[in-house]
Amino acid sequence: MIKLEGAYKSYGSVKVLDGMSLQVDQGRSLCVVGRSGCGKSTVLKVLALITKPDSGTLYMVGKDVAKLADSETDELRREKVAYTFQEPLLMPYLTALENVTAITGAPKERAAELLSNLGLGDRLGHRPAKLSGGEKKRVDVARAILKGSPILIADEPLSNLDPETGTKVMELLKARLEMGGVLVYSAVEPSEARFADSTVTME
Amino acid sequence: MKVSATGLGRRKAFREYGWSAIIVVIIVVGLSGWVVIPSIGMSLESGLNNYANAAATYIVVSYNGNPSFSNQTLSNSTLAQFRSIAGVESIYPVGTSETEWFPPSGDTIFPTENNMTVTIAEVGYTSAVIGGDNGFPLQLLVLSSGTLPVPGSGSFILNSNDLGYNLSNQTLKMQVGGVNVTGKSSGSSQYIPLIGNNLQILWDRTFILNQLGSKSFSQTFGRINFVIIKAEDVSQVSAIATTVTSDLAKGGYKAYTVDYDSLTVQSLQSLEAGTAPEYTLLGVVSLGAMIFAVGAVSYVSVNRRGWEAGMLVSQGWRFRDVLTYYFTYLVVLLLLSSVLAGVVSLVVAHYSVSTFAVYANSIVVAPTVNLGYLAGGIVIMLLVCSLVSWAMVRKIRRSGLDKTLREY
Repeated sequence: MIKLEGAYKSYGSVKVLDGMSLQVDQGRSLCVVGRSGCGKSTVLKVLALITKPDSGTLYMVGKDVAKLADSETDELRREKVAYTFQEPLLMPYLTALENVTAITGAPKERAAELLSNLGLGDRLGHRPAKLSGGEKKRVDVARAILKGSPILIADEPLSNLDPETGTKVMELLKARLEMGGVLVYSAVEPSEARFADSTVTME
Repeated sequence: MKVSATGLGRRKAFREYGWSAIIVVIIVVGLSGWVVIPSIGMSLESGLNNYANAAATYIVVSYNGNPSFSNQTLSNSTLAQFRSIAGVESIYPVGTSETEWFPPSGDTIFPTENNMTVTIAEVGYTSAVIGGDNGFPLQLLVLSSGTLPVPGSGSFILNSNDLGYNLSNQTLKMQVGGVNVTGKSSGSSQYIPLIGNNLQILWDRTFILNQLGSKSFSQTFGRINFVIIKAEDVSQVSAIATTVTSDLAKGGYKAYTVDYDSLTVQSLQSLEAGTAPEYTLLGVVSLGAMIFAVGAVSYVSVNRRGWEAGMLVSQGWRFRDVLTYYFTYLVVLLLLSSVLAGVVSLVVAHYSVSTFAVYANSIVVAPTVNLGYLAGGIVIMLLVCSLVSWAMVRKIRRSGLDKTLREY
């Protein structure tokens, strides 16, 4: 479903990706493990169609992304990809619940149920300024899940979460795999790769 | 799933009230300035123009002193000279005479500086008859109250509000052309100060003719000693008055004077030459400043969190949805501002009353808000909102999602 071959990416003089390759098939999950600053987020942004590699090829649902027009890439991202941020980006003027419903268009009841499952039942009406880092993370995850796209890209979804909540989050993210989706996530700790079918380690 | 870009834009407008208030205040100030300043200029000009065209286009030639004793009447050739002056629309020759009123005994006793009293035995008013040859023209007689005299009824019209006494609603002992009469006012005219101050009482023609007899009537009101000249335009009044004065001097009419509403003419000329164009210029400057300020503040307000747009696109929003989101946000603020600007404009206009000194009077002009300016301002602001929204989306497209998201 996703295939990245020989991807190179630099930010100015800093080389971030140096011939990176990976593949994730339908119904499978992949964890990209590496220390902070090794380029995990960049790989995930490439896979989420947020940035393009300087060179290399990305195949997504059978399409060579480099050959797509910008509008086609936008449409592919819109239809197929859901993305969670390393630092959750939430609208400060919306409540936790609204940050899910207003951005994804998901029904209120469904969003409230999912947020409650993630332990945010009593935080639905709170704005981001009143939420902890872990709580924001879970709102961001809920948003990605409710978008309903087959490809889930999650940047360090376990950071700021206690083990129990982390497990819950990963279970919800992996639920997509049973419907033929794909999950790619990043982690700093190698132990966090235990939720994935395969692992790529970045130096 | 369908997202509501307009709903999100509305929430942003109402919930980020700090920034919203700043933008609203700037739009209100700019829009109000744009609406009020030229409106005031236009109102002053049209108000003064209306007054000038109604009242200040007249020139009056009158006899100095008691018109009953005017032994030098204006000749037909002199009137023809007046009629031929460039800019003269029409002339109205009138025969005037003094009407004496004898106040009832004891009614008009006034204390003087030395605590003495003076009894006013008689008061003289310049008068004419209504209509007919050498009568006061009916087309200049617009009533402000009462009715025209019933023919033969012994009534008159009060043509001035500066008579010194209240002559309304009472039977008065009077003398006209040496004949004692009993008169009563039937109404008051919406008088033109320049004319009213020179001609205060307008008699029913039939009554006076009956009382005086045709010979005495002809001697009293048949001699032309008063002329009303109507100019085509207020701007010509001064020049016509100069020519009339010159014609009178050439004809040896030393006992006649020429009056016109020079104060109004001067006020109007001053307004048209200076004040009104300044108001319009200020309005345009205000509009320009508003467009710049609103554009800049709007852009800063959405650009300070440019990552919002990046986040929305990364979560599957189309760029056109993001455009709608920003546009809705700014349009909500614009609509709020427009309502407030309308109210502010009305309040400011209400307190921007101007007074102009005119002949024997002053006129008060209360500006009215021209809604055309408000509508024009809103249309311009809609264009500014569209431009800012478009600029934000274009910026994201050009710089890319990754860079936009890194602004967080």
